[in-house]
Amino acid sequence: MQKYEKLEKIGEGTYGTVFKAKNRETLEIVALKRVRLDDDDEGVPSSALREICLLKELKHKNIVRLYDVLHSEKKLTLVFEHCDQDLKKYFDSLNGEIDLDVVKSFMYQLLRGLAFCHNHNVLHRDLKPQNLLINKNGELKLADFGLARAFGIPVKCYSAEVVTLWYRPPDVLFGAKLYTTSIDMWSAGCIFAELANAGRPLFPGSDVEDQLKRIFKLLGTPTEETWPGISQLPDYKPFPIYHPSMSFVQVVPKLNSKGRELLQRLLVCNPSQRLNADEAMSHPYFSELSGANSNASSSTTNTSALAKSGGSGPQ
Amino acid sequence: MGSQRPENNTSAVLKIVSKPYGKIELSLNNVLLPEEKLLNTPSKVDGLDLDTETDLRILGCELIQTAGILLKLPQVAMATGQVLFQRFYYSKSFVRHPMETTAMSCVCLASKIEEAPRRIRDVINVFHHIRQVRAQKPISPMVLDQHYINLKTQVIKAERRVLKELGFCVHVKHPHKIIVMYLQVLGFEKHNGLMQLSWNYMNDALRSDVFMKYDPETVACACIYLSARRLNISLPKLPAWFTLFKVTEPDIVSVCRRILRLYNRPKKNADDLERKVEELRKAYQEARLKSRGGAVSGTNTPNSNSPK
Repeated sequence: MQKYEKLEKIGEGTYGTVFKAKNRETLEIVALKRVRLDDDDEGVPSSALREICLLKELKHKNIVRLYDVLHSEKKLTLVFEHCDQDLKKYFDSLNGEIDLDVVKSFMYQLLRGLAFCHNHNVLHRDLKPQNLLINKNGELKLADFGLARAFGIPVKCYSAEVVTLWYRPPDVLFGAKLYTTSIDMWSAGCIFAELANAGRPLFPGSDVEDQLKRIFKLLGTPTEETWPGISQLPDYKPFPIYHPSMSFVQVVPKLNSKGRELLQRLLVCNPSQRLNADEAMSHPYFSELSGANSNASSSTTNTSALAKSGGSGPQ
Repeated sequence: MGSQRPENNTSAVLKIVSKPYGKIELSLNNVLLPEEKLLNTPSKVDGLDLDTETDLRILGCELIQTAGILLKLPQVAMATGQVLFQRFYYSKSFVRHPMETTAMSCVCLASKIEEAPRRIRDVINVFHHIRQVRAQKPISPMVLDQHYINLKTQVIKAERRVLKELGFCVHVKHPHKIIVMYLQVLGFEKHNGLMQLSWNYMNDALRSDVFMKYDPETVACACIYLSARRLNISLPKLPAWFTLFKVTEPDIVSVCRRILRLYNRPKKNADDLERKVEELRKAYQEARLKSRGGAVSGTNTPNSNSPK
């Protein structure tokens, strides 16, 4: 590997190790994702194949960019645009404080990336803070499309890390097989709440049952009236009727009323009633943001807001 | 296009610097090919006559179709496999890359792309079966010996080569779906005869070069056009129905000609074709060995991991 100088290991993706690396010619920093190709196996893993196919088509500022694919006997190396950290690491650096302008900016960018995916008939299906990358300019990008669209949602990753349930909607937890864009919108809602609480996950369930219980305790248990067809879902089982005991003011105390309203329209158990990405982007919560929405000016506000909050972190 | 700049920069650098890595062009503009590329194929450069090449293409596509049926793959997967197979041999030669191995790898690849993955072992078994049926031999299962292991390795390598040559552009827009949609628009979705015949023409069209030359919308119109004529069904003329789908009559006629040519070809013996390619392959390998003794010629393909 002469072209790139490997700098450090960043993490384990769905199907291989990710390294930070430097292009020796241009000095550009990139992320290398290695896909091992074992000859006694089944060829190029279908998840890698899908990620490459999809990302080649999805060119957008809020979606991580695939620059190149390097090919050798033993492995495939995907060369990605490098981002400094993911949202999870960003949360860890916060000390429980987050600038509300950053929350709004990140949420808007998340929705903008999602809207682009959905308009190109691509579902992400595995949105979580670890899959949202953030760079120095305060830009947020969707990454890790290894699970996008195809192949059912696995319970375990290649790296033996259990896929988290925390961002799964109730319909999927009940075994719904027909996914629509609504699956990503639920996850976006969970991430929105987590953003507003500076990294405290909204529904940190330990298993499917606990996950559903946490959801229903906050939102109330759905019934055939509020969600026609719920009892027909493959893994449906009745839950006690919980009545919402906590108001959203208590759930996300720092978020303003418009923000809370948006969150409530995303976290709807019945998937057909969840907002879609385009609708969510035009929600009044973002009206101030879109007032200064010429891209340049909005991105400068983001940067300064991020720099501010970044400064309060450790170091 | 401006946003693509970093990619182009890196690709320019890569060509000079990296040796062990093949460059993969991540773009979709190699999907349709100009006429001269359709005539001057890599196989022709290696001394294979166009007629034999056409027969090999037809044979490979038939293999993919038959194997797909035996593997119970959806028809979209067979269509994808055939399109990939055809495209590959416009950038690589039949002389250097054995047709059957490529066909197997295209089936594997298509099954993954179309979300109906099949194991390589099953694909190899099915091809083994087809071969026995063709030779009218008694059917016996594939023995899992060293030969099988080598073959599997070859298929995996071929799969990577196909991906690399096609720059991972493996999404095929499905013409079958387009036919159904167009016939709905024209109010003929209940006409089983027209639907089935158009569908059949479409399956056969995969064996020709029309998908390299025309977009799937044009091919779909041509299949409907052919079928309507054969069944004496009149479709709207004023304005002509295909203008609705932004397709022109000369293009349709050209596609029809290319499809109909398939039916005028006498069926060739697969063994004869293989023998012909085998001769050229031997000659090629000998020439390669000789040139290895001298200076390494620069006229080979830029691909560094060419076949052994």
